[in-house]
Amino acid sequence: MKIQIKNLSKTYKMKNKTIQALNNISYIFEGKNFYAIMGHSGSGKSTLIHCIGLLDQITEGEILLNNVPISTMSENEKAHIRATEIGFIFQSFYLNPKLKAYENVMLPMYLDKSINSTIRKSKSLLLLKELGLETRSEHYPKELSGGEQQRVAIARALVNNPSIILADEPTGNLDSDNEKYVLETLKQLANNGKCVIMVSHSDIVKQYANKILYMNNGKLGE
Amino acid sequence: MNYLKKALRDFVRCKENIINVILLSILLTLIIFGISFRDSLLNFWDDLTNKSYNYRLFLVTYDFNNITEEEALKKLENFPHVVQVFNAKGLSIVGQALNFVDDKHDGYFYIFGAPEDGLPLISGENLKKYEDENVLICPKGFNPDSFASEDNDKSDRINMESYLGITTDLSLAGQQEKEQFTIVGLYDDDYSYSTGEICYSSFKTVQRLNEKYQKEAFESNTQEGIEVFYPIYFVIDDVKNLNNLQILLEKEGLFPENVTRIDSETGSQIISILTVVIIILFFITIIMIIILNLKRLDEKEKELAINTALGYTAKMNALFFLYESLIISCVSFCLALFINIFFSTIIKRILLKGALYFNFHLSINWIGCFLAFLISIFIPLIINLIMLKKISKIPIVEILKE
Repeated sequence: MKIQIKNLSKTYKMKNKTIQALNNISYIFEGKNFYAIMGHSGSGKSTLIHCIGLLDQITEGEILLNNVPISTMSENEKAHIRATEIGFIFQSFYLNPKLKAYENVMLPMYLDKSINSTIRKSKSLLLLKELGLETRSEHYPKELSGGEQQRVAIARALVNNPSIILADEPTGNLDSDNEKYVLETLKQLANNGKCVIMVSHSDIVKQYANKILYMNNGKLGE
Repeated sequence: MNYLKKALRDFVRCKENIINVILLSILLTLIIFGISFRDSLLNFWDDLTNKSYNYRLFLVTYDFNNITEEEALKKLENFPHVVQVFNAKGLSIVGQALNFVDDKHDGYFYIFGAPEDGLPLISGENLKKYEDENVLICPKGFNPDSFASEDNDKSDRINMESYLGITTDLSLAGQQEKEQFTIVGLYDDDYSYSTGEICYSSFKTVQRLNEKYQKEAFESNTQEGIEVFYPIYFVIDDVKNLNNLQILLEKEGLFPENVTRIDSETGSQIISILTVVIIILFFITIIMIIILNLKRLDEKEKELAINTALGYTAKMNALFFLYESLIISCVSFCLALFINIFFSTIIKRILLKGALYFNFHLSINWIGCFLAFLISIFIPLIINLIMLKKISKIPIVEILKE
């Protein structure tokens, strides 16, 4: 698995001012690696992860997944890539409050019509069990702690077995114990062959990531 | 199917949907009820005109110098929708029921000519079997008095239920000679404009009686030096056919006029008001559905953004949104229908019982239901199609950054 970024630039306008969020970035992310992208607020970390995740439009350059250009694909094709190749983990978890834990995990599986409801449920319950939440699967997000909610979000990100995990400050709202648990999990995922790209402020991430990258004024460097 | 199941689950778990359903079902209930009530009122009037022959009875004037009465009668008989034709002798005659004279009644009443099935009977027989016999169909509350009026106490009327089938002596047109008449049927006096002083017999019988007891009155065309011509009469099968018939009749020099007119002015005012109210309700409901959907989209923006991050396309998101909208509409419609059935039953059984003179049947109008169903289904469909663009342009990154 390989994500290649070629001369990636992203600008946007704010109050008649043009902001250069990403400035001519080129980099290759590969599987079996845990990348930590660090940098101060506004350096462009989240923008980069959103561009890699095909949520944000790029201004210049190219993103290739296994040598296939994906940034120029149609919105439907991009959605398919997100559904099958990419798993997102967010700082604020973004669980659906009206769905139980296992139902939140099931959400990405609705996109695959070949999976029936029994398999969907058993697969999500298995993932929750692997993340230590077997007793919390029937609970709604508001009934779970922050750490538990993030583990549900991780399960949701993993349920379609994506090759890339994009985590945008996933430990930002967690205590140190839960932070360690999440980082350990992400490290394990990378060890199992996935390409984990995580954006973070926290220095503790350096102990888990095997590649540390820094963003500064829209530029990426090691 | 998966989408539908998910939409159904989201619908059940979203408390805001209860409010949405209640609001929408109230409006749909009012629309269905409004249309049903309007239609029932129209049916009521149609029913009334067709049940009671008085509304289907017309007098015809013509140029007496050019057409004789016999010619006019013959002509009339051949027109479509004309079920009975007769001259003025068949219209009515005054009788005195000697057996019913007491302190409160002088026994005088009218005998009107009626078609064989023109009266809504509550008991007994109609005139079909008695084409030219001395039989009477009397009101259930009989008021044989020359001063009978609406102001009279209804309790003074004679309950005729026990007189059904009996024979009574009558003197006719003030003559001494008496004839025996049998009471063969009773009609509901609430079902006519009479105040209980009108009985019915066949046209032929009335005609025969007039010929026998006051022939001169009809044959002389001058009374006290003034030339008098009597019109002829006909009964039509359905008042709806009058307009077409009138054109044909006027071409032949025959000019029909209602004998009894329905107060259509008050009726049409009520219908007009109801129509305006229903149209306003339609617009309010459409606006309401639009507002509800826009509000729901606002509430669901974050959820749709997350779904997009998970790999849902704008179309899938729109479909989820649409399914939930349709479920809200369907549930609201079913609730509205249930409320209508429930309340119309209550209104029929309690409120309208005895409140109106005639039998008013409030029934659910299925066209109204269909219209309510259409707006509850099609408006969300159209709105969702329009909103597909909005959904595809949800600022995902901005929402996820919040």
